[in-house]
Amino acid sequence: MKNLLLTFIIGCTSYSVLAQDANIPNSLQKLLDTDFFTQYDEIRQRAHTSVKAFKKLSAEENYSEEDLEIVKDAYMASAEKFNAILVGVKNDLLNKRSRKMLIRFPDAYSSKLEKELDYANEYYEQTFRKEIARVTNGEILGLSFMELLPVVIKGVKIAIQVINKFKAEVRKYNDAMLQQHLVEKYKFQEWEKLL
Amino acid sequence: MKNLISTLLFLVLMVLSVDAQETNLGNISNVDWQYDSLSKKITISYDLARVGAERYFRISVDAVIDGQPLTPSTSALEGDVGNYIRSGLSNKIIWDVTQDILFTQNASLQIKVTSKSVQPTPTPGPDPMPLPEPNLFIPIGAGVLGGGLIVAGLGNMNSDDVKEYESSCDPNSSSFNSSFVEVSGNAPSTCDLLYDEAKKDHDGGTTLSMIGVGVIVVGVGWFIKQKIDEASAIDGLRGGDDRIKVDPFYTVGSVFWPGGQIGNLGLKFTYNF
Repeated sequence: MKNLLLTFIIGCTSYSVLAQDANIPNSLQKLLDTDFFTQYDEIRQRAHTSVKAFKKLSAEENYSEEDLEIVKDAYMASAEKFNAILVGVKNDLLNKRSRKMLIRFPDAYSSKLEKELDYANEYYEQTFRKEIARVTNGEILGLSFMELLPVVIKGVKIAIQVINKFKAEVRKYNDAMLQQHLVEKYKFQEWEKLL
Repeated sequence: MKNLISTLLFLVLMVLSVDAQETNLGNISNVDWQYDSLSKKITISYDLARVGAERYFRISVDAVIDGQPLTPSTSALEGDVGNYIRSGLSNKIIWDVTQDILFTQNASLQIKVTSKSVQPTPTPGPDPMPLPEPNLFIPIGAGVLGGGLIVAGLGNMNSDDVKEYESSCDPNSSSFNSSFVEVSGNAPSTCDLLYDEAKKDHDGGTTLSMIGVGVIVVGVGWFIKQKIDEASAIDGLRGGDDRIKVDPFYTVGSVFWPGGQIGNLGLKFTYNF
Protein backbone atom coordinates (compact mmCIF):
# COMPACT_ATOMS: atom_id res chain seq x y z
CA MET A 1 0.00 0.00 0.00
CA LYS A 2 2.82 2.33 0.96
CA ASN A 3 4.59 1.57 -2.32
CA LEU A 4 1.43 2.23 -4.27
CA LEU A 5 1.02 5.58 -2.57
CA LEU A 6 4.68 6.44 -3.23
CA THR A 7 4.32 5.49 -6.88
CA PHE A 8 1.20 7.62 -7.13
CA ILE A 9 2.96 10.62 -5.56
CA ILE A 10 5.99 10.21 -7.86
CA GLY A 11 3.64 9.85 -10.81
CA CYS A 12 1.79 13.02 -9.87
CA THR A 13 5.04 14.93 -9.40
CA SER A 14 6.37 13.80 -12.77
CA TYR A 15 3.12 14.73 -14.43
CA SER A 16 3.22 18.11 -12.76
CA VAL A 17 6.78 18.75 -14.01
CA LEU A 18 5.87 17.61 -17.51
CA ALA A 19 2.76 19.76 -17.47
CA GLN A 20 4.84 22.75 -16.44
CA ASP A 21 7.30 22.18 -19.29
CA ALA A 22 4.42 21.76 -21.69
CA ASN A 23 3.38 25.30 -20.83
CA ILE A 24 6.46 26.69 -22.47
CA PRO A 25 5.97 27.33 -26.17
CA ASN A 26 8.34 25.40 -28.36
CA SER A 27 9.93 28.58 -29.67
CA LEU A 28 10.56 29.92 -26.17
CA GLN A 29 12.10 26.64 -25.11
CA LYS A 30 14.38 26.78 -28.14
CA LEU A 31 15.28 30.35 -27.24
CA LEU A 32 16.08 29.37 -23.67
CA ASP A 33 18.22 26.52 -24.94
CA THR A 34 20.56 28.89 -26.77
CA ASP A 35 24.00 29.64 -25.37
CA PHE A 36 22.86 33.06 -24.31
CA PHE A 37 20.56 31.66 -21.67
CA THR A 38 22.44 28.49 -20.77
CA GLN A 39 25.67 30.41 -20.16
CA TYR A 40 23.80 33.24 -18.47
CA ASP A 41 22.46 30.59 -16.12
CA GLU A 42 26.04 29.46 -15.49
CA ILE A 43 26.97 33.03 -14.61
CA ARG A 44 24.24 33.33 -12.02
CA GLN A 45 25.05 29.89 -10.60
CA ARG A 46 28.63 31.06 -10.07
CA ALA A 47 27.40 34.16 -8.27
CA HIS A 48 25.11 32.03 -6.12
CA THR A 49 27.95 29.65 -5.32
CA SER A 50 30.14 32.58 -4.26
CA VAL A 51 27.42 33.90 -1.96
CA LYS A 52 26.84 30.47 -0.42
CA ALA A 53 30.57 30.00 0.16
CA PHE A 54 30.79 33.39 1.82
CA LYS A 55 27.78 32.69 4.01
CA LYS A 56 29.28 29.40 5.07
CA LEU A 57 32.59 31.02 5.96
CA SER A 58 30.95 33.96 7.71
CA ALA A 59 29.15 31.48 9.99
CA GLU A 60 32.56 30.30 11.17
CA GLU A 61 34.39 33.63 11.18
CA ASN A 62 33.59 36.69 13.18
CA TYR A 63 33.05 39.27 10.48
CA SER A 64 31.60 42.60 11.52
CA GLU A 65 27.97 43.32 10.89
CA GLU A 66 29.01 46.23 8.73
CA ASP A 67 31.18 44.05 6.50
CA LEU A 68 28.43 41.48 6.16
CA GLU A 69 26.08 44.25 5.18
CA ILE A 70 28.57 45.63 2.65
CA VAL A 71 29.05 42.26 0.93
CA LYS A 72 25.32 41.65 0.86
CA ASP A 73 24.61 45.07 -0.62
CA ALA A 74 27.36 44.62 -3.21
CA TYR A 75 25.83 41.31 -4.28
CA MET A 76 22.30 42.67 -4.38
CA ALA A 77 23.35 45.72 -6.41
CA SER A 78 25.25 43.48 -8.86
CA ALA A 79 22.28 41.13 -9.05
CA GLU A 80 20.04 44.07 -9.81
CA LYS A 81 22.24 45.06 -12.77
CA PHE A 82 22.19 41.53 -14.20
CA ASN A 83 18.48 41.12 -13.60
CA ALA A 84 17.81 44.40 -15.36
CA ILE A 85 19.32 42.86 -18.50
CA LEU A 86 16.82 40.01 -18.37
CA VAL A 87 13.95 42.42 -17.89
CA GLY A 88 15.28 44.40 -20.85
CA VAL A 89 15.33 41.28 -23.03
CA LYS A 90 11.80 40.47 -21.91
CA ASN A 91 10.61 43.97 -22.78
CA ASP A 92 12.35 43.83 -26.16
CA LEU A 93 10.60 40.56 -26.95
CA LEU A 94 7.25 42.04 -26.01
CA ASN A 95 7.77 45.30 -27.88
CA LYS A 96 6.89 45.06 -31.57
CA ARG A 97 9.30 47.80 -32.59
CA SER A 98 12.22 46.40 -30.59
CA ARG A 99 11.54 42.91 -31.98
CA LYS A 100 11.64 44.25 -35.50
CA MET A 101 14.83 46.16 -34.84
CA LEU A 102 16.73 43.36 -33.16
CA ILE A 103 15.92 41.10 -36.10
CA ARG A 104 16.99 43.76 -38.62
CA PHE A 105 20.12 44.78 -36.74
CA PRO A 106 21.40 41.71 -34.85
CA ASP A 107 24.93 43.15 -34.59
CA ALA A 108 23.68 46.32 -32.99
CA TYR A 109 21.47 44.41 -30.57
CA SER A 110 24.29 42.07 -29.70
CA SER A 111 26.53 45.08 -29.02
CA LYS A 112 23.87 46.62 -26.84
CA LEU A 113 23.63 43.49 -24.70
CA GLU A 114 27.41 43.18 -24.64
CA LYS A 115 27.67 46.70 -23.28
CA GLU A 116 25.09 45.98 -20.60
CA LEU A 117 26.70 42.69 -19.63
CA ASP A 118 30.14 44.29 -19.49
CA TYR A 119 28.85 46.95 -17.15
CA ALA A 120 27.08 44.43 -14.91
CA ASN A 121 30.21 42.31 -14.85
CA GLU A 122 32.42 45.30 -14.09
CA TYR A 123 30.11 46.27 -11.25
CA TYR A 124 30.19 42.71 -9.89
CA GLU A 125 34.00 42.64 -10.11
CA GLN A 126 34.53 46.08 -8.62
CA THR A 127 32.07 45.67 -5.77
CA PHE A 128 31.07 42.14 -4.78
CA ARG A 129 34.28 40.33 -5.68
CA LYS A 130 36.46 43.08 -4.28
CA GLU A 131 34.51 43.23 -1.02
CA ILE A 132 34.31 39.49 -0.56
CA ALA A 133 38.09 39.24 -1.01
CA ARG A 134 38.68 42.12 1.42
CA VAL A 135 36.35 40.84 4.12
CA THR A 136 37.61 37.25 3.94
CA ASN A 137 41.24 38.35 3.58
CA GLY A 138 41.42 36.60 0.24
CA GLU A 139 40.05 33.28 1.51
CA ILE A 140 37.18 33.60 -0.94
CA LEU A 141 37.67 35.55 -4.11
CA GLY A 142 34.27 35.05 -5.64
CA LEU A 143 33.89 33.30 -8.96
CA SER A 144 34.60 35.29 -12.08
CA PHE A 145 32.41 35.36 -15.19
CA MET A 146 35.08 36.66 -17.49
CA GLU A 147 35.48 33.65 -19.76
CA LEU A 148 31.71 33.13 -19.97
CA LEU A 149 30.83 36.56 -21.24
CA PRO A 150 32.08 36.08 -24.83
CA VAL A 151 30.05 32.85 -25.07
CA VAL A 152 26.94 34.65 -23.82
CA ILE A 153 27.48 37.47 -26.31
CA LYS A 154 28.00 35.00 -29.14
CA GLY A 155 24.75 33.37 -28.12
CA VAL A 156 22.79 36.56 -28.71
CA LYS A 157 22.93 36.25 -32.48
CA ILE A 158 21.82 32.63 -32.36
CA ALA A 159 19.00 33.65 -30.06
CA ILE A 160 18.01 36.32 -32.58
CA GLN A 161 17.98 33.69 -35.33
CA VAL A 162 15.56 31.65 -33.22
CA ILE A 163 13.39 34.74 -32.65
CA ASN A 164 13.42 35.41 -36.38
CA LYS A 165 12.55 31.82 -37.20
CA PHE A 166 9.59 31.76 -34.83
CA LYS A 167 8.46 35.35 -35.40
CA ALA A 168 4.78 34.52 -35.45
CA GLU A 169 4.96 32.58 -32.20
CA VAL A 170 7.15 35.16 -30.48
CA ARG A 171 4.51 37.77 -31.26
CA LYS A 172 2.13 35.84 -29.01
CA TYR A 173 4.38 35.90 -25.95
CA ASN A 174 2.92 37.76 -23.04
CA ASP A 175 4.40 39.45 -20.02
CA ALA A 176 3.38 36.79 -17.51
CA MET A 177 4.83 34.00 -19.63
CA LEU A 178 8.20 35.69 -20.09
CA GLN A 179 8.30 36.82 -16.48
CA GLN A 180 7.85 33.22 -15.37
CA HIS A 181 10.05 31.37 -17.84
CA LEU A 182 12.68 33.96 -18.64
CA VAL A 183 13.04 36.45 -15.79
CA GLU A 184 12.16 34.41 -12.70
CA LYS A 185 13.99 31.34 -13.92
CA TYR A 186 17.24 33.09 -14.80
CA LYS A 187 17.39 35.99 -12.39
CA PHE A 188 20.00 36.30 -9.65
CA GLN A 189 18.31 35.20 -6.46
CA GLU A 190 17.87 37.38 -3.40
CA TRP A 191 20.62 37.13 -0.80
CA GLU A 192 18.28 35.65 1.81
CA LYS A 193 17.21 32.80 -0.48
CA LEU A 194 20.76 31.58 -1.02
CA LEU A 195 21.47 29.07 1.71
CA MET B 1 38.95 79.44 6.90
CA LYS B 2 42.19 77.69 7.00
CA ASN B 3 44.57 80.42 6.32
CA LEU B 4 47.98 80.88 4.88
CA ILE B 5 50.10 77.89 4.30
CA SER B 6 53.75 78.31 3.82
CA THR B 7 55.85 75.79 2.12
CA LEU B 8 59.23 75.50 3.70
CA LEU B 9 61.02 74.68 0.52
CA PHE B 10 59.51 77.24 -1.83
CA LEU B 11 58.40 79.89 0.65
CA VAL B 12 55.12 80.07 -1.13
CA LEU B 13 51.99 81.32 0.51
CA MET B 14 48.69 79.85 -0.48
CA VAL B 15 45.19 80.51 0.75
CA LEU B 16 43.23 77.32 0.70
CA SER B 17 39.61 76.66 1.13
CA VAL B 18 37.68 73.50 0.49
CA ASP B 19 34.25 73.60 -0.93
CA ALA B 20 32.32 70.41 -1.19
CA GLN B 21 30.04 71.15 -4.04
CA GLU B 22 27.06 68.92 -3.60
CA THR B 23 25.75 67.31 -6.72
CA ASN B 24 22.19 66.24 -7.12
CA LEU B 25 23.21 63.09 -5.23
CA GLY B 26 23.95 65.30 -2.21
CA ASN B 27 25.68 62.58 -0.25
CA ILE B 28 29.02 64.19 0.56
CA SER B 29 29.50 65.88 3.91
CA ASN B 30 32.15 66.82 6.49
CA VAL B 31 34.74 67.73 3.89
CA ASP B 32 38.06 68.70 5.40
CA TRP B 33 41.62 68.99 4.18
CA GLN B 34 45.15 69.17 5.40
CA TYR B 35 48.18 70.42 3.60
CA ASP B 36 51.49 68.75 4.28
CA SER B 37 54.13 71.35 3.57
CA LEU B 38 56.90 68.77 3.47
CA SER B 39 55.41 66.41 0.97
CA LYS B 40 53.41 69.22 -0.61
CA LYS B 41 50.37 67.01 -0.70
CA ILE B 42 46.82 67.83 0.25
CA THR B 43 44.80 65.23 2.09
CA ILE B 44 41.09 65.68 1.59
CA SER B 45 38.71 63.79 3.82
CA TYR B 46 34.97 63.48 3.40
CA ASP B 47 32.00 61.40 4.44
CA LEU B 48 30.07 59.65 1.70
CA ALA B 49 26.55 58.55 2.51
CA ARG B 50 24.52 55.87 0.78
CA VAL B 51 21.78 56.92 -1.60
CA GLY B 52 18.96 54.47 -1.16
CA ALA B 53 20.43 51.00 -1.59
CA GLU B 54 23.38 52.30 -3.60
CA ARG B 55 26.74 52.23 -1.82
CA TYR B 56 29.16 52.94 -4.67
CA PHE B 57 29.80 56.23 -6.39
CA ARG B 58 32.09 58.03 -8.78
CA ILE B 59 34.07 60.64 -6.91
CA SER B 60 35.88 63.44 -8.64
CA VAL B 61 37.87 66.44 -7.50
CA ASP B 62 37.92 69.84 -9.15
CA ALA B 63 39.84 72.89 -8.15
CA VAL B 64 39.76 76.60 -8.77
CA ILE B 65 43.08 78.44 -8.48
CA ASP B 66 42.86 82.20 -8.45
CA GLY B 67 39.54 81.93 -10.22
CA GLN B 68 40.87 79.58 -12.88
CA PRO B 69 39.30 76.13 -12.94
CA LEU B 70 41.62 73.14 -12.82
CA THR B 71 40.94 69.44 -12.92
CA PRO B 72 43.67 67.59 -11.07
CA SER B 73 45.36 64.99 -13.22
CA THR B 74 44.44 61.40 -12.49
CA SER B 75 48.03 60.51 -11.68
CA ALA B 76 48.17 63.23 -9.01
CA LEU B 77 45.22 61.79 -7.10
CA GLU B 78 45.10 58.67 -5.05
CA GLY B 79 42.79 57.18 -2.47
CA ASP B 80 39.03 57.29 -2.45
CA VAL B 81 38.61 58.95 -5.80
CA GLY B 82 37.35 57.62 -9.11
CA ASN B 83 34.77 54.99 -9.92
CA TYR B 84 33.28 52.51 -7.44
CA ILE B 85 34.07 54.36 -4.23
CA ARG B 86 32.17 52.82 -1.34
CA SER B 87 30.14 55.01 0.97
CA GLY B 88 31.64 55.47 4.41
CA LEU B 89 33.06 57.89 6.92
CA SER B 90 36.38 59.70 6.57
CA ASN B 91 37.14 58.70 3.01
CA LYS B 92 40.48 60.12 1.98
CA ILE B 93 41.94 61.54 -1.19
CA ILE B 94 45.59 62.52 -1.44
CA TRP B 95 46.42 65.12 -4.05
CA ASP B 96 50.01 65.61 -5.07
CA VAL B 97 49.47 69.23 -5.95
CA THR B 98 52.94 69.75 -7.35
CA GLN B 99 51.93 67.72 -10.39
CA ASP B 100 49.21 70.19 -11.26
CA ILE B 101 49.97 73.55 -9.71
CA LEU B 102 52.74 75.98 -10.40
CA PHE B 103 53.12 77.63 -7.01
CA THR B 104 52.60 81.33 -6.86
CA GLN B 105 52.48 83.57 -3.85
CA ASN B 106 49.12 84.06 -2.18
CA ALA B 107 47.35 81.79 -4.64
CA SER B 108 43.82 81.07 -3.59
CA LEU B 109 42.72 77.50 -4.02
CA GLN B 110 39.26 76.07 -3.85
CA ILE B 111 38.65 72.34 -4.00
CA LYS B 112 35.37 70.78 -4.99
CA VAL B 113 34.55 67.15 -4.31
CA THR B 114 31.66 65.76 -6.28
CA SER B 115 29.83 62.49 -6.21
CA LYS B 116 27.99 60.93 -9.12
CA SER B 117 26.59 57.54 -9.96
CA VAL B 118 29.12 54.95 -11.06
CA GLN B 119 29.59 54.65 -14.77
CA PRO B 120 30.88 51.75 -16.80
CA THR B 121 34.48 52.15 -17.83
CA PRO B 122 34.45 53.02 -21.52
CA THR B 123 36.03 50.32 -23.59
CA PRO B 124 38.32 51.38 -26.40
CA GLY B 125 37.45 50.18 -29.84
CA PRO B 126 34.81 50.63 -32.48
CA ASP B 127 31.33 51.98 -31.93
CA PRO B 128 29.67 49.64 -29.45
CA MET B 129 26.52 49.69 -31.53
CA PRO B 130 27.60 49.38 -35.16
CA LEU B 131 24.80 49.78 -37.61
CA PRO B 132 24.99 48.66 -41.21
CA GLU B 133 26.57 51.15 -43.57
CA PRO B 134 23.86 52.96 -45.52
CA ASN B 135 23.43 51.59 -49.03
CA LEU B 136 24.36 54.52 -51.24
CA PHE B 137 24.23 52.59 -54.50
CA ILE B 138 20.53 53.16 -55.04
CA PRO B 139 20.39 56.89 -54.17
CA ILE B 140 23.55 57.65 -56.17
CA GLY B 141 22.38 55.47 -59.06
CA ALA B 142 18.99 57.16 -58.98
CA GLY B 143 20.65 60.57 -58.95
CA VAL B 144 22.80 59.74 -61.97
CA LEU B 145 19.97 58.10 -63.89
CA GLY B 146 17.48 60.82 -62.98
CA GLY B 147 19.98 63.54 -63.83
CA GLY B 148 20.69 61.86 -67.17
CA LEU B 149 17.01 61.63 -67.99
CA ILE B 150 16.49 65.28 -67.12
CA VAL B 151 19.44 66.35 -69.28
CA ALA B 152 18.16 64.19 -72.14
CA GLY B 153 14.67 65.60 -71.65
CA LEU B 154 15.93 69.16 -71.65
CA GLY B 155 17.92 68.36 -74.77
CA ASN B 156 14.77 67.14 -76.48
CA MET B 157 12.84 70.15 -75.32
CA ASN B 158 15.47 72.32 -76.96
CA SER B 159 15.92 70.29 -80.13
CA ASP B 160 16.64 71.91 -83.47
CA ASP B 161 12.99 71.52 -84.48
CA VAL B 162 11.80 73.21 -81.32
CA LYS B 163 14.32 76.02 -81.74
CA GLU B 164 13.40 76.46 -85.37
CA TYR B 165 9.71 76.51 -84.59
CA GLU B 166 10.19 79.03 -81.81
CA SER B 167 12.32 81.32 -83.93
CA SER B 168 10.17 81.01 -87.04
CA CYS B 169 6.63 80.49 -85.92
CA ASP B 170 6.13 81.31 -82.23
CA PRO B 171 5.53 85.03 -81.81
CA ASN B 172 5.69 84.59 -77.99
CA SER B 173 9.26 83.30 -78.19
CA SER B 174 12.11 85.70 -77.52
CA SER B 175 13.91 84.30 -80.57
CA PHE B 176 10.94 84.84 -82.88
CA ASN B 177 11.82 86.42 -86.23
CA SER B 178 8.64 87.11 -88.29
CA SER B 179 10.50 87.38 -91.57
CA PHE B 180 10.84 83.58 -91.65
CA VAL B 181 7.10 82.95 -91.52
CA GLU B 182 5.72 81.42 -94.68
CA VAL B 183 2.14 81.60 -95.75
CA SER B 184 0.96 79.24 -98.49
CA GLY B 185 -2.67 78.73 -99.37
CA ASN B 186 -4.54 75.75 -97.94
CA ALA B 187 -1.52 73.47 -97.77
CA PRO B 188 -0.07 72.89 -94.33
CA SER B 189 2.30 75.69 -93.60
CA THR B 190 5.93 75.09 -92.71
CA CYS B 191 5.02 76.21 -89.20
CA ASP B 192 2.32 73.52 -89.00
CA LEU B 193 4.83 70.90 -90.05
CA LEU B 194 7.45 72.29 -87.73
CA TYR B 195 4.92 72.42 -84.92
CA ASP B 196 4.23 68.67 -85.13
CA GLU B 197 7.94 67.85 -84.96
CA ALA B 198 8.65 70.40 -82.27
CA LYS B 199 5.68 69.24 -80.20
CA LYS B 200 6.82 65.66 -80.49
CA ASP B 201 10.30 66.62 -79.25
CA HIS B 202 8.94 68.90 -76.55
CA ASP B 203 6.47 66.32 -75.22
CA GLY B 204 9.09 63.59 -75.30
CA GLY B 205 11.54 65.85 -73.49
CA THR B 206 8.97 66.78 -70.87
CA THR B 207 8.17 63.12 -70.25
CA LEU B 208 11.85 62.21 -69.95
CA SER B 209 12.45 65.09 -67.55
CA MET B 210 9.48 64.13 -65.40
CA ILE B 211 10.65 60.53 -65.27
CA GLY B 212 14.10 61.84 -64.30
CA VAL B 213 12.63 63.92 -61.49
CA GLY B 214 10.61 60.90 -60.38
CA VAL B 215 13.72 58.70 -60.29
CA ILE B 216 15.56 61.32 -58.20
CA VAL B 217 12.61 61.59 -55.83
CA VAL B 218 12.63 57.81 -55.42
CA GLY B 219 16.40 57.90 -54.73
CA VAL B 220 16.07 60.68 -52.16
CA GLY B 221 13.10 58.89 -50.60
CA TRP B 222 15.14 55.70 -50.37
CA PHE B 223 17.98 57.57 -48.68
CA ILE B 224 15.63 59.25 -46.19
CA LYS B 225 13.98 55.91 -45.46
CA GLN B 226 17.39 54.43 -44.71
CA LYS B 227 18.22 57.26 -42.33
CA ILE B 228 14.85 56.86 -40.64
CA ASP B 229 15.34 53.12 -40.28
CA GLU B 230 18.77 53.70 -38.80
CA ALA B 231 17.43 56.26 -36.35
CA SER B 232 14.58 53.91 -35.45
CA ALA B 233 17.06 51.15 -34.82
CA ILE B 234 19.17 53.33 -32.55
CA ASP B 235 16.14 54.63 -30.69
CA GLY B 236 14.61 51.20 -30.45
CA LEU B 237 17.74 49.46 -29.28
CA ARG B 238 19.17 52.15 -27.07
CA GLY B 239 15.84 52.94 -25.50
CA GLY B 240 16.51 56.64 -25.83
CA ASP B 241 14.23 59.43 -26.88
CA ASP B 242 12.75 59.08 -30.32
CA ARG B 243 14.59 61.05 -32.93
CA ILE B 244 11.67 60.57 -35.24
CA LYS B 245 8.46 62.08 -34.07
CA VAL B 246 5.12 62.26 -35.74
CA ASP B 247 2.79 64.41 -33.71
CA PRO B 248 -0.78 64.99 -34.75
CA PHE B 249 -1.84 68.55 -34.03
CA TYR B 250 -5.02 70.52 -34.01
CA THR B 251 -5.11 74.23 -33.43
CA VAL B 252 -8.09 76.53 -33.29
CA GLY B 253 -7.79 80.19 -34.17
CA SER B 254 -10.26 82.97 -34.90
CA VAL B 255 -8.06 85.54 -36.56
CA PHE B 256 -8.44 84.84 -40.24
CA TRP B 257 -11.96 83.54 -40.34
CA PRO B 258 -14.51 86.29 -40.10
CA GLY B 259 -17.21 85.56 -37.59
CA GLY B 260 -15.93 82.14 -36.69
CA GLN B 261 -13.06 79.87 -35.85
CA ILE B 262 -10.85 77.92 -38.13
CA GLY B 263 -9.02 74.79 -37.18
CA ASN B 264 -5.73 73.45 -38.41
CA LEU B 265 -5.45 69.72 -38.40
CA GLY B 266 -2.39 67.84 -39.47
CA LEU B 267 0.67 65.85 -38.67
CA LYS B 268 3.98 67.32 -37.61
CA PHE B 269 6.89 65.17 -38.71
CA THR B 270 10.20 65.76 -36.96
CA TYR B 271 13.44 63.99 -37.68
CA ASN B 272 16.52 65.01 -35.76
CA PHE B 273 19.63 64.12 -37.71
